[in-house]
Amino acid sequence: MPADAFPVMGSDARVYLVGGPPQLLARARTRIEELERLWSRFLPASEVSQLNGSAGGNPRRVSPETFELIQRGIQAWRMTRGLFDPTILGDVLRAGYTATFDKLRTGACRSGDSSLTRGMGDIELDTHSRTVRLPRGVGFDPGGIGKGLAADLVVEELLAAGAEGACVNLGGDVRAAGTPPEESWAVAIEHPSRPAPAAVAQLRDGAVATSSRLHRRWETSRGSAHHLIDPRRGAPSDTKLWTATAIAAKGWQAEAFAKAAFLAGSSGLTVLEQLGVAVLLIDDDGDVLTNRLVSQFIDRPAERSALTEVTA
Amino acid sequence: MSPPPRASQPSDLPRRRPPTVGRPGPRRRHPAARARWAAAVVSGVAFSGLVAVMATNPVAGAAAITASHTSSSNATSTNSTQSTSSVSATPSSSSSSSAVTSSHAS
Repeated sequence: MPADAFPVMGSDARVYLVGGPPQLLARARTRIEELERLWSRFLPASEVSQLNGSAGGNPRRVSPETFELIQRGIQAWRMTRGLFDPTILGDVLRAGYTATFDKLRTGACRSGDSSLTRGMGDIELDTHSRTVRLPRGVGFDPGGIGKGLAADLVVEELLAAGAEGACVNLGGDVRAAGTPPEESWAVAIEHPSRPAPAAVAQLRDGAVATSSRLHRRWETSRGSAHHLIDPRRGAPSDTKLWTATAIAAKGWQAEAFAKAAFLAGSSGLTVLEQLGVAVLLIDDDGDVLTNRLVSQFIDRPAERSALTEVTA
Repeated sequence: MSPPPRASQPSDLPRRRPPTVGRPGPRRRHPAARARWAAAVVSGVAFSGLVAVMATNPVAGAAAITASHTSSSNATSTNSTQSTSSVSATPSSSSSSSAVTSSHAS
């Protein structure tokens, strides 16, 4: 199966193709890099940086992709009742995530001052003029939803360009659709402390995303911090989980639901099940908890027996 | 001989447990006990869990959501009550023997 791997968006990208002209792989890479240039908050010229810089000013016309990014962010915020909130940028900066993670890891940036506040409910969008206006003092952090949406866009564009099947994995945010390479699109859900995956999800069409507090950690003067900010606390979540994985229709949904599930803890399993989202949690004992929807994606009995299904 | 740790593995990652031989260690719960524990956790907190937390959350509560409908009413044709089918992935009726890729923390 033709595949490509490259670093982008502060993560590793993987693109897999079934059928279609082979040059589609190069096209996918170019497209993902283009989306990074539009959305990265670490690039001053990106549309998101420009949007954040104009917060409180006049509405700003943006590209269709960036308009959709903001739309999806609002949808995700509503669907999760605010647990997923891309306007936590001020909290992210105050927690110390002020530079690309490579720089944070080397200790190059430790400053964490910001006067930004949250304000998802006051973002103004106009579909006719394709303009966005952020409230004064509000910053938008594309974070994970940008990766999930990018995976969605690229997979859909690859299929439209002639691929029979496509899968894009952006830093663990996986979207797959169309004809799979074998019987299904099999996506392993990694277990942080075991060599074997916690489960392998067998998809025909869908997305898998994982949120974790074990990676993207850094040291501050107040101790270690991680990037999963709880909007209720305005600080990194203190939930007793290692990871939360969501299986949903689209990449942006899986990303938002994975983050909400992580922040909600085990109480989120049944709530997300009612929405139709399969969720797998790994707690800090390494135990794997799922809602009932996960089993429909797990084919192997041995994997199923390792899961603890949680019912209301 | 066990393989060396991966270079990219952060030092603060939890250590892999040694393979369990014989009886499980004291921290391990029996699968049935784990299921009961998990169900008890959920049943005990479900009503005060996600929905209630969100509903009473001053940051993301009803007022904020109402405001969003006003100020970003042009934002999107969808709303918070999306149908179940729109967020559910489609499982495969057959399965592959090996994973194409993996979802992991990044």
